[in-house]
Amino acid sequence: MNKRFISILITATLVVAQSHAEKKDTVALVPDVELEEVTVEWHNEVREMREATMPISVISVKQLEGTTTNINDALSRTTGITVRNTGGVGSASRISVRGLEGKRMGIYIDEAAIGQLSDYMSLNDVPTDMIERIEVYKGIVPYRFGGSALGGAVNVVTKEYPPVYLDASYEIASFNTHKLSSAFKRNNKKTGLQFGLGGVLTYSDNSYEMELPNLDNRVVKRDHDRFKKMMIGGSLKATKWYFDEAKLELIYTATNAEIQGIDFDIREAYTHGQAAITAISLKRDNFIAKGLDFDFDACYSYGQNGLYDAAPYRYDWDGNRYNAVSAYGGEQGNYASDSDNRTHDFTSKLNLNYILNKHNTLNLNLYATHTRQNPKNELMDLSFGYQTNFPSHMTSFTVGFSYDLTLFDNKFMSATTIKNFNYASETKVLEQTFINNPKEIQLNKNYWGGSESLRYKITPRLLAKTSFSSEVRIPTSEELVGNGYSILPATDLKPERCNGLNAGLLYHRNHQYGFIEIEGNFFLNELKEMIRYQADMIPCMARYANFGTVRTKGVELEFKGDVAKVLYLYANATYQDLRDHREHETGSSAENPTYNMRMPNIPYLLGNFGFELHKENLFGGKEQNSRFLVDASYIHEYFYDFEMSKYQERKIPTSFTIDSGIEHSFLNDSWTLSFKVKNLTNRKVYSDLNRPLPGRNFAFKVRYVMK
Amino acid sequence: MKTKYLFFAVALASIFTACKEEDEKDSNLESGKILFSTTITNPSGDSGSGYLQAVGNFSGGINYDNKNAIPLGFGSYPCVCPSGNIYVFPDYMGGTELKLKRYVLNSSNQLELQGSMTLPANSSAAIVVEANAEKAYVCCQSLDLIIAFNPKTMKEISRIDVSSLRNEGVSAYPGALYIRDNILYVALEQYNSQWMPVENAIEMALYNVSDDSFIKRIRNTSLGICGPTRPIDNQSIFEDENGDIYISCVGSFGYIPGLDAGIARIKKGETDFDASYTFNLTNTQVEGLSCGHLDILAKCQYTSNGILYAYGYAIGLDPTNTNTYTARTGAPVIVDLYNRTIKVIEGLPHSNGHGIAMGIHKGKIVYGSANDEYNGFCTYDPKTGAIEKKVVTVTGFPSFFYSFEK
Repeated sequence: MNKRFISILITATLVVAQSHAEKKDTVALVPDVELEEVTVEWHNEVREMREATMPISVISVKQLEGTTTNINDALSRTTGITVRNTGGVGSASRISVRGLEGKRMGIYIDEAAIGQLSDYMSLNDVPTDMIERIEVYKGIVPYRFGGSALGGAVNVVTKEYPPVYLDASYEIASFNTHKLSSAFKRNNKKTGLQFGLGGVLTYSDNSYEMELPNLDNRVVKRDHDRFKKMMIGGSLKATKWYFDEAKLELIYTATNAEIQGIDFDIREAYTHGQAAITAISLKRDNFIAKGLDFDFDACYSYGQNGLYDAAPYRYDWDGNRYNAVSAYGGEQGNYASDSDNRTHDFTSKLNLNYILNKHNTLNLNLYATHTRQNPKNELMDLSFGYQTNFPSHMTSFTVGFSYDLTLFDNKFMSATTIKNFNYASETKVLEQTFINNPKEIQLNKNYWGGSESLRYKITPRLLAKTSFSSEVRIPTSEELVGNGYSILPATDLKPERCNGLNAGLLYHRNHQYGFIEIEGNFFLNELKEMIRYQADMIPCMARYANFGTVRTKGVELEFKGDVAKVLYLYANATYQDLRDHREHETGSSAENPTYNMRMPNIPYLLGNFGFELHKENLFGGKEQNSRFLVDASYIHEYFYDFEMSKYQERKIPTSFTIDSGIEHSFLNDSWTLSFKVKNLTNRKVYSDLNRPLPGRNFAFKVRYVMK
Repeated sequence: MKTKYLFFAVALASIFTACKEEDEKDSNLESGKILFSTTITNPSGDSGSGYLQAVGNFSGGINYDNKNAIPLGFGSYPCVCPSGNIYVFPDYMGGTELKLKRYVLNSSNQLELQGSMTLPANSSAAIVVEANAEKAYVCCQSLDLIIAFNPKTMKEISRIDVSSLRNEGVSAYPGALYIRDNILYVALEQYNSQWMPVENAIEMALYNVSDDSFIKRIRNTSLGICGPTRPIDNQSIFEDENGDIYISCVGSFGYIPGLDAGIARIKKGETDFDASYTFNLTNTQVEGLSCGHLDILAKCQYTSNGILYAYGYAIGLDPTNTNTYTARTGAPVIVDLYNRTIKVIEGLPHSNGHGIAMGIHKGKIVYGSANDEYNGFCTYDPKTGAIEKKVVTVTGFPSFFYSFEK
């Protein structure tokens, strides 16, 4: 296997999968104030100041190159964010900001949404080496991103490269994990053309030992969790054509992931997917008229995915064999599956920003998506005795109009946005999966929303921010019409509406070693018709359902900064209290028994702490840099049912994990060696629904940069 | 710098202090010989959790929360055996600790755990019958498996694999169990992937309790009903004073025309279905029921003289609500097994699919109810015909009831 794998690595030409930021320089440790200062350098002052009203955390390149091995690691150390992995490399994960998770979050790479492509791509697919910084927006999503994200957004800003650039890295880690990534860029200054090639290969057996709480804490080794992913791509960017920037990207990605059993020993089932993605981006300042900035993105992907689960027998962890429930096989549930689903996704965004004068800016954002699914699963249909999945399509269109106001010598800033959300969907659905009676569903809905955010600089070092919003999130196609094998349609889903308030103070001071920053935020949200992912009565099937109203109160505190010449320190803590706010049971005037109870399966108290010791030429020589890093993460225990009884046992135990790493670079960062230990104390860690996560594990990485 | 550290430490401390859990209120209610469980569901009704508790007072509109209740798996009911053993199961769909637990009511009338036995994953275990003090059977429905075990030690004795009794294209899916004359009767649902029968036939497998040996398989296609027993209701198969076994068959739960529910019988001394006894629910007009007929008997409680009290389930009672878990489709009924008639108990509210607890307490028939106004229990007095509503209110849907004070 190893030889074969290495052969694949060598023969594959690896490519950059994602686009690159328009920013012209690197920003180290970029808090809000830094962003503002840097924008003054990069752009017209008025154009960029609009960003500053949004509550934002920034994960810098410095943090990314620490003990992290992927974006999720970096995000999970950010205030108010939990990343809920379900296993090892390549496992499903959900990012949660202030307790609101999953589809609500806007996920962007260089401001281009990847939400529609989430079946094929995730943030973790972007190698950390290629990232300039990650912006995490909380509460309000910047209007220029478009779409209908609620509660927050993550925007990964990829690096800008010098004229000739090669970045290649290889990581070997525990559980037979190998990651290879490379990027090659060539700029031609004369023609303004930039070519890029790159890609990523990931392989892992994920063969860690896990303790099974449902089976007397029995310890077993994961034996069917192999993950393989390949992503290759290329890009062409022109900067001297009519547009300031015109960019075309092509990406191909393929994934194969075995399904690891937890209570049962699954031996054959796996999922697979592949997609071809093309994206175009056009940008031009002073488009048509002076002060009018044009920004257009469009992305189309054609994908194929499926679940294979047709084993005739099931096995428990003692090796006892049982017949599959269905005569056609299936280890996971009541049915066999060999699906071959085809998807078409189209996303486009047009942003027109018009600067009237130093004080006033107008912005129009148009955001459209179209998804078409053609599911095919003859084996599942045989198991059920009739067709269970049907073609579907969904279209959404969001129009956002925004107005920015800047006063008092830039001390005061305001951003006002009004949005109109429209979506339409058409499919057939089995209202009851046990009856062959498909019903035609056609939807066409329209909603309004809006937000207001304010910022005031009390002193040059202290600023206050607040925002109010009443926004709508349109259900995604997966939520509405399912995925063809594991998620059932829920065509009666209503959009979520979030009424929110954020208020915060930020203190930032630069000093001789760098900076010190302290930030505190308070937030209050009322999320109506919350959409939750929940298991269905049919084994291994799930569906999204409206939960009702959930109210959130919370605070975040964060400290970070260079406290000495060689020491950078950070700590943050979040308390997020999400409560069921349904007064009555569904369709009844009976009291809701869980009214005002804490929402289950969502962490409510979490914190992070870490430091970095760094020194140049620690061992003599020159152009060398050494770093020692420690990151600790704490999540207080929480229940995955409502906390009704004093005998309640179903809880996800407290996790306190420490990661550590050593990194040494030579030749002015041309070569970097790093060694990381994750979960240093080998704590037993579980994710939501008690999914066991890896114990202590190691990784060694070598990276070469030619620039 | 120190000042800043101090500030940070204080700020963090204030956060951690702020999240102390709310003080629990003590419900100050005495334990007793009445068992009930409630189900707390998600709004869609198809997932959640259950809570079992023993209480002493069952009158006066008293309210019980779940603070002193033992968490249960979702989707199955506890089984109370004549020995007094109380068995609780893991979540029917999995995801909880895979243990069959045996409780008793101790001298303080509190639920006391006596032992537990690990079950295979994905068991969908739901029914226990005891053959004697040292042998019982638990039905692992999704595995086509019956496990014999010793209730005293909670150790597995043997396994009965019924998968060889599968019909073509379906799973044997053993349902409720019953023991008569040292024979273990195992209902075979013969379900397809959607937990639906595919033909109008009822089947059972018979085993010798002494050695678990297979005796025979019985099958009937002439009665026009299917789905023998409701797989999670141990009262859906019972014996009358004459020694006849009655089997409440759930058909296709009212969803597939022609695959009907009804009641079958195996007469005393016989080991095959009584072809002369036909009782098809679809063909039986129910007195006092607005939609005419019932689709299934969702919960049963036999008393005597052929009188079966039940929760009748009829989709037609709440036809616009397509959510089978939350629709108010449960109606308290009286079934006359001998005369094959059914009538609604007038005045009792309709309940949803979860709030269908049933039992007998001090001579009265107890009906759980999750209705439009409250969750709680009502009673019906067979002697006087009097009903009493809202006898007790509870937190969650009342899904199980058993009283040791008959």
